[in-house]
Amino acid sequence: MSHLHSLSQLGLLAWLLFLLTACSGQPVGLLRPNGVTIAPDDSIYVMDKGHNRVVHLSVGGQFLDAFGSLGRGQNDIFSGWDVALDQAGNVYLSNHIFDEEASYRSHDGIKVFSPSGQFLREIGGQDYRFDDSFHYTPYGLDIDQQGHLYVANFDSNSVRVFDVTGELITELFGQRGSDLGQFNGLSYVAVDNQRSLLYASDEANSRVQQFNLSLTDTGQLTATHRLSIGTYGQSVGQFSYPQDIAIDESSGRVYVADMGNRRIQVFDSEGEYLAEITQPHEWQVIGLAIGSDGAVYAVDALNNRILVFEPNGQLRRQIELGQ
Amino acid sequence: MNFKVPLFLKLMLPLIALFILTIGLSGYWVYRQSTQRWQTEMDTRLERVASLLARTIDVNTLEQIKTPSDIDSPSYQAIVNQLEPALTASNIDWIGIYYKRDNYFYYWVDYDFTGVGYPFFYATPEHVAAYQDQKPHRVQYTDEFGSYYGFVAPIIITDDSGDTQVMGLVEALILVESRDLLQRDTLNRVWLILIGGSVIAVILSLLINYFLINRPVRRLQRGALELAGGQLGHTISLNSRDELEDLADTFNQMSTRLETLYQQRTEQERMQRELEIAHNVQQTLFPSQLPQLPGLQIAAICQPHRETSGDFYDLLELGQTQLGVVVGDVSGKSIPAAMVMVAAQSVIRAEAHDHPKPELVLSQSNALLHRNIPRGMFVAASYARFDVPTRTLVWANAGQIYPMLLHRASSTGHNSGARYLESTGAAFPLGIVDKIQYTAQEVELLPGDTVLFFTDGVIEAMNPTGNLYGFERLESLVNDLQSDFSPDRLIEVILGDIATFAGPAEQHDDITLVAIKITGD
Repeated sequence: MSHLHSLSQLGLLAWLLFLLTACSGQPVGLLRPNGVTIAPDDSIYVMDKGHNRVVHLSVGGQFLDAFGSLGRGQNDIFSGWDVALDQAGNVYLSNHIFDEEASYRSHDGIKVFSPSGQFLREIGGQDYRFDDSFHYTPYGLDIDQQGHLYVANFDSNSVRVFDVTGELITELFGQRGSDLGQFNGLSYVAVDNQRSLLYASDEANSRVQQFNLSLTDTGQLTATHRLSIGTYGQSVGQFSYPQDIAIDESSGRVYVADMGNRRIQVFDSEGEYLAEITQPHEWQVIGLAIGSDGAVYAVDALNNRILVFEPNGQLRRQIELGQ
Repeated sequence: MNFKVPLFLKLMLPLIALFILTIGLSGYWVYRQSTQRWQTEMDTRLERVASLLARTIDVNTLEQIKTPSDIDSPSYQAIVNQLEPALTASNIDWIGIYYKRDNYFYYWVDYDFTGVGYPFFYATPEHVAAYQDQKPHRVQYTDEFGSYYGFVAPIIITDDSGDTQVMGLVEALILVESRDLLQRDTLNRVWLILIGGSVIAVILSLLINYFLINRPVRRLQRGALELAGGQLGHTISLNSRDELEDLADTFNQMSTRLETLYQQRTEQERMQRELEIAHNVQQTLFPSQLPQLPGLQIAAICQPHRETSGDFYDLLELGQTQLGVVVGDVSGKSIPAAMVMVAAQSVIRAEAHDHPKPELVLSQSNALLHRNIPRGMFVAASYARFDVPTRTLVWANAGQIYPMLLHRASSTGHNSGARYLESTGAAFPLGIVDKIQYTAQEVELLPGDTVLFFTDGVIEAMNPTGNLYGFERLESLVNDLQSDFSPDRLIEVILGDIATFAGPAEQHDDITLVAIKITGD
């Protein structure tokens, strides 16, 4: 029996080692990367959507770490979209599931991981998506200086605001339409802390709406429409399915991923067009982020890479894992 | 290196491995079959949905949808209303319509309201081919929303000139993540079955090994150790109704047989020791040295059939000039005969010293033996008393074979002929009847005469074919001898002839020969 016991232990160990080896293999490159955010040390977190993981890259674009795997469980990722960092360095990612039936039994919503990739908590849990009247599909994320988490919900055309503990503070907007303050596919959101401004991309209306953020006497967070940027079209200042928005708070510059027009457009905080960043070849710009030196990080989902531009629009470098 | 491979490993591990392999292959086969069937069914469903919608879509309504803001138009909703039943009924993940402009593909209408004119960056060669050959094509790609596979079918319209052209593509898709999770769930179930089956196989194997093999074998082993430790006759109770039970039965037979053989062997050894003791005791009763009497040459031998002899002889010096000769044969064999022989020899020896007359010696001996030996046993004996100065022999017989007198014929140098010294009167062996009065015969001897006493072992010696040595052969042998033979030579010749006659046949009775030759000194 002792022989058998030893043999069984060896077999189990070999089996576990095999599983460990098989499960620890990471894809080499990125596949349809989406949201991106820059840490204070200028390292990069990017949602590697096609691989259902968040990839952490060094300043120079070298692979540091990755976490997440496909699944519908609490710490799994099914359809990751955007990423954001709080001041503690924790990573927030929006995760939604297109399949309505599947989403009933799945952990969608917002998931929070430690900087090293340990699952911390989820916001929304299994019932994030559904409400009495809306389907909430979390897309874009941003976190302000107070630690408030802003979640753009595409289907409900609203922005849900959570505090640092994950409690819902308020819900902004929520009206589908083309009037001011209404949205037709609210996909991304960005906060200008310096100016207390909230930007939200309005996809089907082909515009970016800007709101003043303020607190009422009762402490209620409110958003008042200030201006709209852009209309549908290919000309300067027009959009075709605008995606992520990045704010250079030092200058108030607003960078908008004008995906349908294959460009990034730059505006000032008053909505005035400043410049555009283009590429000589086909690309699909979705995620945007600003580095500490004002560099613009643009995620090119089509070519599975991150392009880093100087503030003036000149290409600094491109990050392609496994190349 | 004393490396032992347990029986379990030899028998059960291959079976377990085979079992796990069988379960694994079966599970893999089920997994492959189910996923392939699912894939085939899904492919058929996707193609049918895409083709059906491409044929039935309301193209006039579709053409009214042109800009992103039209996503809120009744036309857009009308098309979605056409897509929705197909999506729900076919249980697929996505249905949408693309259009192509300037070699770029754009979303037109889709169930998820992605947007009119939303750029589709991931058009595959199959998308392009569907536009060109106006046939459905299987597509697979990964875009910013996920990984998909499905079918595209062209929406074909006919212009005024009758030519057909593709207006757009209907695409029906399955989310690969959903498929992967489904396959992973299936695979997990297979693994669960495999691991569960393996655990059950191991447990069953252990139980089977313990109850059907290990425990019976250990009982056999313990039984064998008991046997090896000297517990002969130790048996094992095993009711496994298989070959191991047969083995246990065989072991029990062997153990019982060993016990019996050991007991027999012990008994034989004990008897052998007793026989050796009896032999040694008996040998001390025979004269250690032959008497040396002037005028007589004496030779004697008792050749027992086994360790002990029922035959005996005795040579008694009775004064300076007389010799008493006793030759006897006790009925029966082995120890009882030997014990009676001891008694008979002692009694006759004592009586011979007490009585001068041989007939009286035998009569007294008979009376004593009759009282002291078991019933049914008897002693055939003869007692002769030689008187050297007178060359006379007085001889009485109690059932013993008549001695043979070999008379020297000086003229021929040969024996003139052997004759038997016959007795008269009662000749019952000693010990049968209480009171017997034996009679004695007196014979006058001449120098050179030899009296040969012998027991029935001589004449009843048998050859391999069962023939007896017989009186005639003995008589013929001694008659052919030169008359100057010594008693030693006579006995040597007779024994040699018996050996020649018997050949390889085993001696079957005691042989006793006593030869007394009158030398005339």
